[in-house]
Amino acid sequence: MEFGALIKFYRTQKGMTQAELAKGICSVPHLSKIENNSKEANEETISLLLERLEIGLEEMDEKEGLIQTLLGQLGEKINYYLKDKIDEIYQKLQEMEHIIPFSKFIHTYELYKYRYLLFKGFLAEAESQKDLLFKQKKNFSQHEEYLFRYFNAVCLITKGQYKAADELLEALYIDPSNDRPNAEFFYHRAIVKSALEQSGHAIHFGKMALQLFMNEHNFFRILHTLMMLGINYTQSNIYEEAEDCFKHLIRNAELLKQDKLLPQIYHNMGYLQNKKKNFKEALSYYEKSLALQPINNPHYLVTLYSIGENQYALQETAKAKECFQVVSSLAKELGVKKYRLLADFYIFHIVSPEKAFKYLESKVIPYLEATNEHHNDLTRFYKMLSDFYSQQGTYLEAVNYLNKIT
Amino acid sequence: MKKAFILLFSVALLVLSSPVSSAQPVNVADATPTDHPILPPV
Repeated sequence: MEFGALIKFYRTQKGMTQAELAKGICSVPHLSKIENNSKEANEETISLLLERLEIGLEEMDEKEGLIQTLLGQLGEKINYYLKDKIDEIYQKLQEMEHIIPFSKFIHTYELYKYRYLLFKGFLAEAESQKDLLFKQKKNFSQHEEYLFRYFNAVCLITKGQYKAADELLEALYIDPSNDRPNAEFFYHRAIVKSALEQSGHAIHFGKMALQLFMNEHNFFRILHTLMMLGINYTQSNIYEEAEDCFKHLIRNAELLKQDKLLPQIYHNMGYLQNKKKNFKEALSYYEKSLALQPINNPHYLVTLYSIGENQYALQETAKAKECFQVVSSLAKELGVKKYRLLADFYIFHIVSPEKAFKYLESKVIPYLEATNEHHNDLTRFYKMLSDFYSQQGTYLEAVNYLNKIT
Repeated sequence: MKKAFILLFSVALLVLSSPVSSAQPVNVADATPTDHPILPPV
């Protein structure tokens, strides 16, 4: 515990001068040096000063121990994804926030606060916390610096900046001075690789994460990792394994009433069926998923968009149009530009393919290219435009788009 | 020079392989299905 700073804090809070506090215990210059941590005081002096300030030395040690325990519990709740129990721990830590700056856990606390805010999805607050931590960076121990960089990668994932997250995680992974990566680290690597459509890598890291999560009986994360593996088996056309993952997940999630996870699993099962071109089955899973989701969240938007695409594939044009119209307005409301552009493209396409392809070229493709994160969508649209121009007889444009695919 | 040749060759190949009368619109549904899975939580 940083007793100097603690004494100064409580003396100022009580409105005492240095002379009043030091009287009969030590000299004023001596107290001044203790408060500025430029002099190591003996335990007896500290004890007397704290006594005058009505703070018990033993009590302070106990509190420091409690801070350590609570921080351990906070990390554990995050690792085990125990969303309901985490607030209670965080609340207890916040109640001790006035003492934490004087403990040796000040940086660990601020770092876990950053992770907590990311875990809860409070992105704006997490960003401010990141700025605060950045200023303290030079005082970090090696482990604290590792945590800061790792949590920054988690922050980038939360913001959808997968390339930057991937580079940061790779740098941490190859640095031999860092701790051995844990299950969560491999899980995050797998998430990033999955988002970057590098399915082989995602499966590799996902399997490592799964093994470690199983060793620690980390139930929720096992379910999350299985879902991620299912998605990547789907993307790699390893359909049997993908189906096994999703069936296993559906069974467990239904049994355990995992209300939040279940619609996501149904959606991804729909995605698998869609990839297998079983459009009717896909539609049924997407609809099951949609029925369980609250309106006005980004996942609802993705599922509804997928329903629209399936209906269009099944040539249910009127129903598809209705879906895309809802997606377009909801995306506008939620500020999700990608799905507004994609839905509008389909709405145009229903009326006039020529108009739709112009829209694709002038609005959709520039947006997707600028964000640099939607490689699969872009490839599909380049192919469509190439086919379109080829059929129109404008081969130079057709070849230009074909070249972009490679 | 090499790039220009490849481009010219590709155009020629495309012209040869395309049926001249096909002015049909591209069917969006024929294209590969879009990849929109929902990733598990961070």
